[in-house]
Amino acid sequence: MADILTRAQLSLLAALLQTDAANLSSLERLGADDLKALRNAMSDALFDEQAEVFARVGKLAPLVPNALVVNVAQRAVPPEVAGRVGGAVGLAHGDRAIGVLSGLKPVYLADAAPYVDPRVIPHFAPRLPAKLLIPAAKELLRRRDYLTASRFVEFATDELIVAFERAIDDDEGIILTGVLVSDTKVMNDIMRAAGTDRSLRMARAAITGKPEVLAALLSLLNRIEPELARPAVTALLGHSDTDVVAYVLEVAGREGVVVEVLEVSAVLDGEARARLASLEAWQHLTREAESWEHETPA
Amino acid sequence: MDKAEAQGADNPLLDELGQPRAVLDKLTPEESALLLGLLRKAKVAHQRSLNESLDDGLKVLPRLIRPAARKILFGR
Repeated sequence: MADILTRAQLSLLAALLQTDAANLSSLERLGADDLKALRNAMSDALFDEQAEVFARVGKLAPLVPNALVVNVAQRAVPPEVAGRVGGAVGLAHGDRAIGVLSGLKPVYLADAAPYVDPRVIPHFAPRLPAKLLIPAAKELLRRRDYLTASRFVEFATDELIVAFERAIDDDEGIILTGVLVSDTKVMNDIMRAAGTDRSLRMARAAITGKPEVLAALLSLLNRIEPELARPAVTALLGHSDTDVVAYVLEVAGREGVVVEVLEVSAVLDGEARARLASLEAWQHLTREAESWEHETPA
Repeated sequence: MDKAEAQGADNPLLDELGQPRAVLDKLTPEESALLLGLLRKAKVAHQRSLNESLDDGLKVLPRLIRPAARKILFGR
């Protein structure tokens, strides 16, 4: 099974090309980085094709005040088109962008967000105020569009990440968005902003939530700095109730994150590691992983 | 058939985009053709939805600025 980031990139490519991800499944073998490069090249080609029209739309700016832009957009422009046009036009008229975005409903912003030119996001995301972004971010998490949320979080400033962490109470949403962020530094920033208490709360939410959330958290923890990962890893793999640990290991096996669990266990202290190593479920998992190492590649 | 032509036939997406060559070189001819077909369809769909939105947007602009906006957008 492809890893989470690879599946995410494939979904983004499929969405860009308006097709089902299943039609592109053979591309999983390229891995997340190559898929991202491929998607970016195809996205650039799509947006460049319309650059001239976007430029003409931008020339309307002096004629149309912000309130009118908001009115026209929400009455006559589908969010998909607004997302595509808005990125380029907003970049050309940065002084107007915040005024316009402030007038748009969070639902409209969340609908438009998936269609923004990826090249525009790094310029935009850091400049937008948290109070404007948080309602749209909450709406994205409410509809479980973690992929789009992750594309914006990727370029959020430290201040924005702290503001998000405070404003967003949805632990599953933070986990499922965080794991899709490809920049490890941003993932570290998210978990640093979360702090130990929130990190432990996320671990509890993952244990009681859906298996995919637990798998995502294990994958996320394996990619961040050891000291940031340690509290949650201890809550999962060093839990005093061995049934909980056995469940975590079972989910790891089922959801395809065995390697991540084996690696992340290194952050446990000596006592917790020894306790983990004595568990039958752990020994089973390590034997399974060793057997893969000895398999002859097809 | 010269070399460039042969390469285009095997990898039409590489022919279209040029980059990232290292990634595009990994595509099978079938994958490359499929992706190029989807890209072209998406371009047409984007253009159509953009044109429709510009028309619809013009209709809800105040009458006073509509002629100027139309001239900027469509040159007429």
